[in-house]
Amino acid sequence: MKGTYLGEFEEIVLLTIALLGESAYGVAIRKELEAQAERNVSIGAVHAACNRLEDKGFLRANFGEATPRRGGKRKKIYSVTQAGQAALTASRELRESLWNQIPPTAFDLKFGLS
Amino acid sequence: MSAQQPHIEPPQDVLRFLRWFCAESFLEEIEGDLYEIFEDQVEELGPARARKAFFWTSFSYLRPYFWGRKSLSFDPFNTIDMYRNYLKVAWRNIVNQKGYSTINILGMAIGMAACLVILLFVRNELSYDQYHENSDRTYRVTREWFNQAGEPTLHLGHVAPPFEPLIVNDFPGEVEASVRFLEDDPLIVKGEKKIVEERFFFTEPEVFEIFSWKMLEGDPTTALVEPNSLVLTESTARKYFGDESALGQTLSYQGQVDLKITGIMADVPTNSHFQFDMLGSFQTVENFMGQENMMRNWGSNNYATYLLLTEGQSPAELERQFPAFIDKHLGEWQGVPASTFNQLHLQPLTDIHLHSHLDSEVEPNGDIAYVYIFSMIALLVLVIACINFINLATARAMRRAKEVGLRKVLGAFRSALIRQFLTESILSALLAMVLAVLLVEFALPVLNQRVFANTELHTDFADPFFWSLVLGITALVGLVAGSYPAFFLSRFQPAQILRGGPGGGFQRSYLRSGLVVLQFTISIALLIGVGIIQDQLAYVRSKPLGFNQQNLVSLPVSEEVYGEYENLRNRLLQHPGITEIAISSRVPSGRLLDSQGGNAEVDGEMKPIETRVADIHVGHNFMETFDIQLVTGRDFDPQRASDSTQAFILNVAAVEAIGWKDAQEAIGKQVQYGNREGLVIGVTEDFHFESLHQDIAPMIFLITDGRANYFTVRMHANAREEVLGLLEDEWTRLRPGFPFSYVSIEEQFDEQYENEDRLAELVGYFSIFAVLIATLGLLGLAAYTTEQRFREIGIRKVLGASIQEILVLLTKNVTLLVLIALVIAAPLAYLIMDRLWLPTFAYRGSVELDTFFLAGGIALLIAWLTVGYLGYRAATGNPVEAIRSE
Repeated sequence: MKGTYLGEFEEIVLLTIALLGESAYGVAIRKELEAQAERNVSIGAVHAACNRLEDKGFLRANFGEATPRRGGKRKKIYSVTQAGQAALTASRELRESLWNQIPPTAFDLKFGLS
Repeated sequence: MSAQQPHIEPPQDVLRFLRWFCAESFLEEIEGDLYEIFEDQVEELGPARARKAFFWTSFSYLRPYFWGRKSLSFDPFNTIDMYRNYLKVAWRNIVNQKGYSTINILGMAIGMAACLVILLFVRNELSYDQYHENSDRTYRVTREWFNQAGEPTLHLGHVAPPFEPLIVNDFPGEVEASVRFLEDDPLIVKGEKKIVEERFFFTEPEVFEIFSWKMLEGDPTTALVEPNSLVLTESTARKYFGDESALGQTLSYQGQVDLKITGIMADVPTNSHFQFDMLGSFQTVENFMGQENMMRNWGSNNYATYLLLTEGQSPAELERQFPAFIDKHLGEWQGVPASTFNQLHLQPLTDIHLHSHLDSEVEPNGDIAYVYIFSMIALLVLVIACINFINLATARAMRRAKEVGLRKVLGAFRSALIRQFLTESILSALLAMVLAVLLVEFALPVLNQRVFANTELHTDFADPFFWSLVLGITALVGLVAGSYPAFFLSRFQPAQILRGGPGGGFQRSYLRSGLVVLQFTISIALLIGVGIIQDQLAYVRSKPLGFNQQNLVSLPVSEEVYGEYENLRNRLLQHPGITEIAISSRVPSGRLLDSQGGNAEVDGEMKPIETRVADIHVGHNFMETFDIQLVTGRDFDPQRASDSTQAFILNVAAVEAIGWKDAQEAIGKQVQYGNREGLVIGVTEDFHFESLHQDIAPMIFLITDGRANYFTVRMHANAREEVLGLLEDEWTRLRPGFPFSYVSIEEQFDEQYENEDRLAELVGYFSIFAVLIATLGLLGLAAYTTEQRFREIGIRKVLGASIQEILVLLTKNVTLLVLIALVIAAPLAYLIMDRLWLPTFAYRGSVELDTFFLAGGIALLIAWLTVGYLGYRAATGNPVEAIRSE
């Protein structure tokens, strides 16, 4: 298995999947991402991220029922694994810890000269 | 999906591609999701745009992550590993056979380099004026004249000033914008700096709307609106102002008017049909000449005029309305509507550089014929290089036969062997290309300067076109050159080869001989081509022109010079080094563009002159100065006042054109030409006023009433320096501030063949390349055949053959091949030159047989030297070495 580092885009995808619950498959994830993050995401990028996350063990995937609407192909439905949850929590904790350590005046520095 | 729509499938080929590209394990998800998105988009955008979107979406899968190798599919042929092996074997072959590989790769590299250079040149030629955003809607207005017989007599790329405003006024729906350019070569003064700017145009504000020249500083819409404003190109601004900002500063025009700099623009790209350094506002000229005067001036065809047609406007449709337009504004001439002898045409902007050869052009243009000729040469040189590879590979087939046999025994299919040999040839082609690019890199600076005038060809590694060229040529050469050996070698029967017999089908290769003949045919044809070009150039340069072009210099005539002409002439004539002096409107070289209509007395009545007779306004002594011989009659006489206003001298061509029996009959006949009436007093011999590309035009000489551009001095050759010094003093005194400049008539006449000189040089280079590559091929081939016959030579020597006899034996074959090549090449080259190139001259020298013998001789000599060198080494070797190993 590759390293368990979580990229920014991967993190957002992971969170989106958690948010979508039962119905998290490629097209739905992309729609939600575009709605939430307001950025253009190619379906290829979503697929790449999901499969990578699956490789890393952060996602689990099941195939749904075949329907005529998708050219007879089944949906690949993702859900977040324990490891995925742990990675998200770790990432969040790291951020919060960093935020907490920033002195309250840090972002005022730019104006300090006046 | 809505019910009434038929079921629409996404593009199958894109899906097929994805299935091929992506690993199996991803496919169900990818296909399903793409399908769903596609169906949504069909409803939203319609099938066509959905298909397009589908196509673009598929690109997002082109990342290594999805690439199919991760799948568990099983590759029974081990493709990747086999290719690795092919490359390894190919590399070993190249490294182990250094001599052979060098010949092979070097030959290929030279061919590729030649091809690259030519294609870069061709692309540059084809790119002229394409960079303008509106290039497809921009047209130049040209004006054509016809004689009474309806034959075209003159076609100018410039038109008179009233046309443009009238066209804009009459065709508001058809013409979106329009612009005129008037060329000038003023003295520009800035403090101490005085420079004659030869690339100066006055032009209108619309210029930046029509042409996509980029304004760097200043407002393109207003920069040229005010009178006395000036736009400089970037490098010109730097020339005058260095790093200082030029905007808002002034430069003095002729030291008389201050022009304010209102804009700085990027330099004009070299792939433009004309270039300039400065643009003055047209209003300046209009104020100077008076707008009303200008609108009446139908004869001053000096304004390059361009129209931007409205979107979707057909130029042909607008052109059809021009005759009526001309009749409306020019009216009738001697009862005939103006449109019968005068027409306007629209010429696409992008056609000007390669297709326009009008009687006046802003700058000399290129020629589509040269583009074709060069492309053909590029192809031929590449063919020669490919042939080398094929010949060497098949000749050396025996060496590889064992390998082929063994591979087949171990289970290689024929297709695998074909793949192997193609891999080898592509690898060689790749190495050759690296070398070729280096060669091109070194050669281009020289070629840009010497061979292609005024181009900036360069190898641009950021340019996708350059890369596609490089990769395309590599793939083409690799596949074409590799395919024959690949199919040939892979055909061998393993049992026969491994037993030690011939692999079948390659005893005497007629094909190999045929290819050698083809190579030499191309080489010899190019050599003959060079020979014919050189012969023709020698002919046009040595043919007596009918006047004495030596020891003549011409100086510019300005108002000051003209005003003082008689005094100046008398003063200068006192110098013993100066024999004669005359002013004239034109001097030999360049085109004879000025002409007027007229009538002449034929068979007792005045009849209109139906051919264009070019006029030359001269001072007295013009004939003497240029040493032009009169057939009959007399020269202009300064003592007879009537000669200055009522006399004409014609040349023989004009006498014939007007319809007189002979020169004698013309003398004393009444002629009305333009606004002058008088008698013919003399007839000159036909002499070449224009280059030998042109037939000698009918000409009429009359004493100038002010039109004079050249002050021509005939001097003694040994007094040249002294006379030039004297002239410089006088001119600096008369035209202070203007740099002293003069032209030598002989040199200027000679420069008319510059294009042909360049062609000769270029074809010369390529024929050297062709011969070089063919020689390399022959060297490799001869090395092989000599090696094959090593033992035979040994035995012959033991039995008493002399070195000469052995050499004859070895060269006999190649001699025959070269002679066959000569027999094919000679008529071929002759036909091509005779039909395509020589007709560009009105006067042609004869094609000498020597040329063919010389070209054949060179080829034969090179072939003998190549084969003879190797043969000599074999023939002088100790025969024991050759025989003892049996």
